[in-house]
Amino acid sequence: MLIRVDVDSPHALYDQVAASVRADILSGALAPGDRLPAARDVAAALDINQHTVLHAYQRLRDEGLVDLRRGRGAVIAASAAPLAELSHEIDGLIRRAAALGVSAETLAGIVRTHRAEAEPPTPAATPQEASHDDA
Amino acid sequence: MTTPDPTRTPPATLRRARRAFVLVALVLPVLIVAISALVLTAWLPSFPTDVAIHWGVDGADGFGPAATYLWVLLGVGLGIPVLLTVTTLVAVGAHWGATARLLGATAAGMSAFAGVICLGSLAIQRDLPPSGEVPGIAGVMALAWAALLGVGAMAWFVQPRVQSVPGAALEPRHDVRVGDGERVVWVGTTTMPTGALVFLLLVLLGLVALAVAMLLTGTPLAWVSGLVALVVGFALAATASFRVRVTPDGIDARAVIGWPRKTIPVAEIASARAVRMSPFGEFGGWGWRLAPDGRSGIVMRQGSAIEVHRRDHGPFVITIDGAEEAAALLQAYVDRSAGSAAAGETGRVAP
Repeated sequence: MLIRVDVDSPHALYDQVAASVRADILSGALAPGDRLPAARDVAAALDINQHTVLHAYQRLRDEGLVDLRRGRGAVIAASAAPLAELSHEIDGLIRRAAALGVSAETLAGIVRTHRAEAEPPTPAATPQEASHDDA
Repeated sequence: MTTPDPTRTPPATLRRARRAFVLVALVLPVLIVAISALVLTAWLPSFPTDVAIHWGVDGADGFGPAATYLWVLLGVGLGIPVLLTVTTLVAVGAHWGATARLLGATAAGMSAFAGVICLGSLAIQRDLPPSGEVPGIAGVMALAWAALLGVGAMAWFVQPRVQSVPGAALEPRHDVRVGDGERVVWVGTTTMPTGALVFLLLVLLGLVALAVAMLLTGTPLAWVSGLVALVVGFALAATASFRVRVTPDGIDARAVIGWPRKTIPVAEIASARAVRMSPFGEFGGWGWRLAPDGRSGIVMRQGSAIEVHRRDHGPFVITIDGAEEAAALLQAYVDRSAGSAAAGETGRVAP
């Protein structure tokens, strides 16, 4: 498994390790059932604290992407399967949002608190509406 | 496996090789043992009393019925060749090579060895006066070894020479890039196949049970079987599974217990790539292997492997899932250090 962290990035290391795993899931490099390496090995390779890696694994568990099992370690969850299918659309969404000046953070906030509505309130505020226009 | 495997021996060559192998490793021993057994059985009536069946430095020191030699003939002369034949045909599969050829020669040689030993040991004791001294066994031994080497050599040359096909290079699915300020690493594990592991664990369990039984029944030298169990257990722990990592410093592989361990720094690496390889075909087996041509490696299963070409040593190979990304990353670091010798640019590996 390939893991990348950026030492100059403002993002926390655990966040970056989690992001690396998420990227692998999106690209299809990791599939449900795949076992993540032991936190100890990842930490030693990255030259960071083991607890940082564990924090990343726990974060992924909270997001439902990974199951943490005693003895087996971190295993990619079944719910991660559709992500590879969505990756193309997610990519497009982020790109279009960036072109419109909508930051990834804003997008993340909207996605997180999104509630399905019969009638979208305004075209500009709902990225879904924008992408529907394209379809 | 639906993708064609370029390391498979071509079917026609494979058929020829397997046919020759079965001829020398199975048919020949059956013939040798059959003829020897017939002669032996014909001689049995002339040995009504016990004969010498073991020789020490001071001459014959073990005695038993003449029929013992029949069992030795069948066990060593037929049993071992059958075992070698079956395991080789199963293990080598479609990746024929020099190892399979050698095993065929060994099987043939073993049957000749057994034939000479059994018939020879009885022959020197024929027509012996009842109180006569049993002659030494040195002559028979020498003849038996000569038969082993002679028949073995013939069996070797009868079999066709089959080169094991070197593996095709494997490319990663995506580019592996290392940006400025990024620390990119690859972490993975390679383990021996589950079936083999289970089998070896059962063997270990048997050894432990044997040691315990010997200890409890007060058998002398029980500690020897305990030591054997310990050594086997240690060997298993040292070779069953390896953790591999690729970092900007190079590649590192270590057993779960920490040793044995192989670290190859970037400075020692000329190039790295992923290949498809066959452990039995290229190394004659599985585990941490050394080949006469200077290749060495950790080969746990057939398939994708990281091949590290070193400046001052032979190539080091590690079979592992994800070898494509690992090798690409390692190559990127090798490129980077070569580049930094010139201008300090980050490396990028082209697909």
